[in-house]
Amino acid sequence: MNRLNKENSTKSLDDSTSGDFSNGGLSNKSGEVHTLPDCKVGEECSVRVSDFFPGEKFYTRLQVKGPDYIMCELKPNPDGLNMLYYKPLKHGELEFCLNINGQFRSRLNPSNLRAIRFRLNVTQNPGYEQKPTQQASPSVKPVKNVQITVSPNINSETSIKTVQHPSVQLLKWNMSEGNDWKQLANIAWPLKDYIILEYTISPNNAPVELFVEQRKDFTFWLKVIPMAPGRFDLSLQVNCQAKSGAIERHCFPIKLDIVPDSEPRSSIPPKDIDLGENAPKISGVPQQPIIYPARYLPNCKMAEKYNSMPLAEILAPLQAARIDKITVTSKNVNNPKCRIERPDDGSCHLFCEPAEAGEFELELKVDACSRNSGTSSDIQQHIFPLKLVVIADPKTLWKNIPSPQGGIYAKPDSDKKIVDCGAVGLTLLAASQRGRSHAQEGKPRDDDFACIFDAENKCVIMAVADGAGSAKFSRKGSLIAVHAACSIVQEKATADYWASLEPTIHKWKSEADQETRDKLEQNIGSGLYKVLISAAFEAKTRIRQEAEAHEKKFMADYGKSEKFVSRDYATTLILTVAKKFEFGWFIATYWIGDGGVGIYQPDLSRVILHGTPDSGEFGGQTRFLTDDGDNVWPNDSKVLIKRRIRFDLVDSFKAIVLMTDGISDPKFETERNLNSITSWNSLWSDLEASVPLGTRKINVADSLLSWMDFWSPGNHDDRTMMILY
Amino acid sequence: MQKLPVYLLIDTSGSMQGEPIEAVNAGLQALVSSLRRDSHVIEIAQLSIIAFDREAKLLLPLTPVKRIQLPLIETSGSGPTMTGAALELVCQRVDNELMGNLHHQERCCKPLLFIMTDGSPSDIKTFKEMVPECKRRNFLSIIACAAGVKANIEVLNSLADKVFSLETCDSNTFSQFFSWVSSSISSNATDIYDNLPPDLPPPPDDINKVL
Repeated sequence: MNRLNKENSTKSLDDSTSGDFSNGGLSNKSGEVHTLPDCKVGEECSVRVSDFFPGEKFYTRLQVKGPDYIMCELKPNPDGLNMLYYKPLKHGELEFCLNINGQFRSRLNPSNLRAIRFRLNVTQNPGYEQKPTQQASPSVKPVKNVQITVSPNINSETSIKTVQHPSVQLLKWNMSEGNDWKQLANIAWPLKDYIILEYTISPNNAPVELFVEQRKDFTFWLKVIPMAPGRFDLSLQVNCQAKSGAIERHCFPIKLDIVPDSEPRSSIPPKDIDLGENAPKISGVPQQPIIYPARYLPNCKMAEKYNSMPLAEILAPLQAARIDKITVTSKNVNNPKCRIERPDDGSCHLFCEPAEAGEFELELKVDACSRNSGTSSDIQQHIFPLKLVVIADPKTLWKNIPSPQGGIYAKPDSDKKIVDCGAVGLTLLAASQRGRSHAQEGKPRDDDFACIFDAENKCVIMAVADGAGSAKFSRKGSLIAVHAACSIVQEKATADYWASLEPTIHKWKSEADQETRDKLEQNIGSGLYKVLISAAFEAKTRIRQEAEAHEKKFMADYGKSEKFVSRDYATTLILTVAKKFEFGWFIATYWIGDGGVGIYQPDLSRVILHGTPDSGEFGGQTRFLTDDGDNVWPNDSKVLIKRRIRFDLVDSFKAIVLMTDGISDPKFETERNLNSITSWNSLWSDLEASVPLGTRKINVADSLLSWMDFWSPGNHDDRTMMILY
Repeated sequence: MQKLPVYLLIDTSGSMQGEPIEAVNAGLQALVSSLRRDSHVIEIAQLSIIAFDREAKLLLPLTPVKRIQLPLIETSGSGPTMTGAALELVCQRVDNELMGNLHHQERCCKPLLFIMTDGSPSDIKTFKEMVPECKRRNFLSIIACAAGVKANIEVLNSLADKVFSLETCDSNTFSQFFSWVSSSISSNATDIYDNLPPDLPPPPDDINKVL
């Protein structure tokens, strides 16, 4: 089943495995060479594993890799002690390095790899004939992989959990490149906490001959002998063992493109396979690096192209030393791209240019010697393992999925309107934009608005509503609320109505006596009750009727009954009417729920917040038009007027602004700020900077809509705004 | 700005030594990784970790997900399991870290509390005293996880809105638990935007809901 390990190589392997320090096969700190008791070729000996790891805890699932001429295995002996069994296949004074991979628990060295050096004197053993390493011809010698683990029975296919990894590695191949190795860099990184038992590439019938070899822990190498050009979907399947002991199969998809080459394949001389990977050979006894505990660097942000981090704190242990050379490498190939800068001031900075977000391991290698030493012989290498977290740019995490347009109560994801109120010398501008939190999930916009300009009565009727996210049909609730409310106001606020209210309002304007004023206010309130409260109540009623109608329709359409109630259509409502009299603007508002409405008068350094938002102690709690509670619909009409209606008479205003909480939350944050002229001033200058309010054409509505896409962390609700200016 | 504070209380008594605590560390790492990839969560969620064994220790004060650098969680040797002390500490932290915001009128979301233990509180008196205190702290939800057969489900029931039991303390079960915690946080973060009442996704296979 796995022919890979029987692959014929064209170049002999030397001790490269044993000397491979480049992949983080970190030497144990002591740098000590362990001398093993003498033995004979082919003789199996054993030593206790814990002897090599003084002061370190480790888990039993260790895996060992050594050079070809030593067969090694780690397993418990009959007494339960963990032993290293080794069997040399050649004679002589051997010095070699074993890479041991497993779960260590050590503050000293967080890596899971330990490279331990051994010296062993092996005498000839005439009784042992097999000397494969020395005698076998290089062309038939098996590729290394002295990966001897006690592999549990992985043929019981039924019990194996298969994990399909989504990311695809792409490999491009030239026909002329045949017989070459290419790496699948870090492809097996997701298996970093597993023990790899077996691997194979499929399908077997692809018109390529494939070999795969695991050379480093997470990088696999693929050898392709291309027969014909084409694209092939391959899968690297790795059987591995989780910490829990469970065997899993992990499949990594690979796309292989074999491109034709003009030159005939036969003319290309076969290339040598470089298995050496520039691994440093052990010559004599090299200076052992000092390894420091792994540390976190400050978290990086994808949104920033370069992240610069001073290394002074990390390099503090070398304060007294002279640093000759300092390099940084990322375990994850080229991500993040890192470099060291050492300006003249003696400081040392790490620059990171992340290509993608995630958690990364870096390694800082520092060659240092004491300050007063001139010779290079006492250079000591220090290794600082570093952990780096790269935080994704939150903006890139949002998706924009259109809401279904054919479905029930479908609504466009954005809306806009501009109304020329020439008769009163103003413009009415409105826009509504679906929030990112809804766009992310392809949900519809719950906000809505409506407005009517009654030129004859010089009266502007405006409404915005925010449907509750928790209610399934709130998008329809908000739509009914704004349209019903506006049309009822238009219907009831006739010329006669205003004519009857006008003397009271006029008198109220100039009345000084408080008692009389209170009385006049009561009268105005009662007058408004007939228009604004009736409109709001009618809106609530129509929502209830819609719920009932929908219930019937549902029964008719689907033949099963389901209960639909007003609560399924829950919505807030801000309903403002602005009427121009000879003696000033009379503005009245009915407000239920959150959001905001204000009369902006920068000339007077004043904003009149036209009511009180119903915002709860904690975010996201509010009241709705559709509620039945005493707070929203008290029995006493005086209480209802006092709680829900606000009216004012002003000479002029710069703007009347209505908004849902999608705008008021990010722009004002607190209720107190809604009353603060400073906050309104900054909102207005913010608006003026991007929206050409002065032009009063339809493109203003477009600009308003795109302005409303502003970024504010944590605020991604639907946004609706209406401006009379 | 809205926030979703999350407090994690983790038992680090001697019995968690070895594979369980390794699994907790791996699970936390995975949890934080997945929170960092969630557009809702990354902006609003904050995480605090409190470990308890013979004492309660604050390992990570309430920190926005963006700025978290996970500490390594280690077990103590043998000794008592001061679950009550951990509750005392979490109440203190909530008062310091969250209630202050309310005074400043900042709109702040209710915190979530997860508590994971494999044993029984040694300071049962303090524990019982702290249960009503915790309830007063207005947690969005208190979710307890009883790991292994020795966990005292009864006392957890008195504290938590929901108790889940993990039959084994191996890495597979823990990783499922933490990925479930992560989806709970995500779904709560989404609900906040939509004003939804808090609700939890169904637990994975190896986690049993205790009624």
